[in-house]
Amino acid sequence: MQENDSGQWLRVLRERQLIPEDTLAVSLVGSVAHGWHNERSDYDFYVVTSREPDLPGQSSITLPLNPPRVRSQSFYLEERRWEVTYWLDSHYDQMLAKVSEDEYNRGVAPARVLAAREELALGRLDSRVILEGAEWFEARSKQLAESAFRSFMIARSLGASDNCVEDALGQMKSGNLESATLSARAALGSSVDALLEGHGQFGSQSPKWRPQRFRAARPDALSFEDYWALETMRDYDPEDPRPWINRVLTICQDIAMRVEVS
Amino acid sequence: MSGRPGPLDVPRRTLGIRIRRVADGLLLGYRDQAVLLSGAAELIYRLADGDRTVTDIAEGLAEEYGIDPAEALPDVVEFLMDQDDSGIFQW
Repeated sequence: MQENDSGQWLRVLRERQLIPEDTLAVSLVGSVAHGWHNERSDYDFYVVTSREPDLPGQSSITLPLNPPRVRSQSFYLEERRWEVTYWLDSHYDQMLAKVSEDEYNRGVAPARVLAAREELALGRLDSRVILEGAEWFEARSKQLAESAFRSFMIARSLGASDNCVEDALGQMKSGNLESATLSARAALGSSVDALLEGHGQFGSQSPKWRPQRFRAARPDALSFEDYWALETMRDYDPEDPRPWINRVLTICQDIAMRVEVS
Repeated sequence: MSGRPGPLDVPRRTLGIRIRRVADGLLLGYRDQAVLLSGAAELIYRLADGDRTVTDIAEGLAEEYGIDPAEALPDVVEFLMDQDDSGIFQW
């Protein structure tokens, strides 16, 4: 199948009766939508409906929403796995309400505001190939831009980084340099996520795509080459890890100074 | 540091301080303190990366504000001394 042929994808889904009558929007999401895929990558689709679908063989994924689940359906075609996730339009109302400016100003803890799949779904409102329902996406994208989603995500990632930095410093002080190294790596990951979220590159729940998100964001605060040297621990000396750990923690500080939370 | 920092001393931002960029500058959270740095104070803080000397920082400040480095140096020294108790710099 030609990967740029959105009509083809939609035709396959319709032939398998996977597009309910009350469908409001259909999108291709994930690695194929970004062009980051390989021959083993799944095709991932989001279908937004007004009512819960009732499809043969469907499975459910539990989420903190009402109703508390999304349905999903998967199949194989030409050795490629296709997965369709069914979101309700009202799920988006609820997810956007969780990340409203009011909630942010109320001091809701950023780490707990959204489940991982919810975060992914909101991030994908602006990061997808639309197969159907362009107006629905336009309206929802506008709501997302007016929400505090970006602020929540950045605050979450910076908070996670701060916690790891604190761990790394404590572990370094006690001489536990192995754990300090891992904590510093985790701090770097979260700081870079915050930096990328500041550039509208969401998807921190999938760290495997961090290099691709980094290239897409092209942040001024850190070059890709410098980032990749740190991520791959190029200058790490197992005999003397402290300089590398301190350098990483300093970079985390540099990033925090550059990323505006709100 | 106890006493007056010299031109060749090298301050660095203390690691472990929680930093947030806000509209008015940099908000630092350290122990039970919160400090808001803006303008020249923010710039000095940003330049104190553990590689630059006090003189280098004064030169950076002078460049940013279009003043003579010799004029900037006492301001940098004074700011660093003022912050000595806050714990936001290490030497």
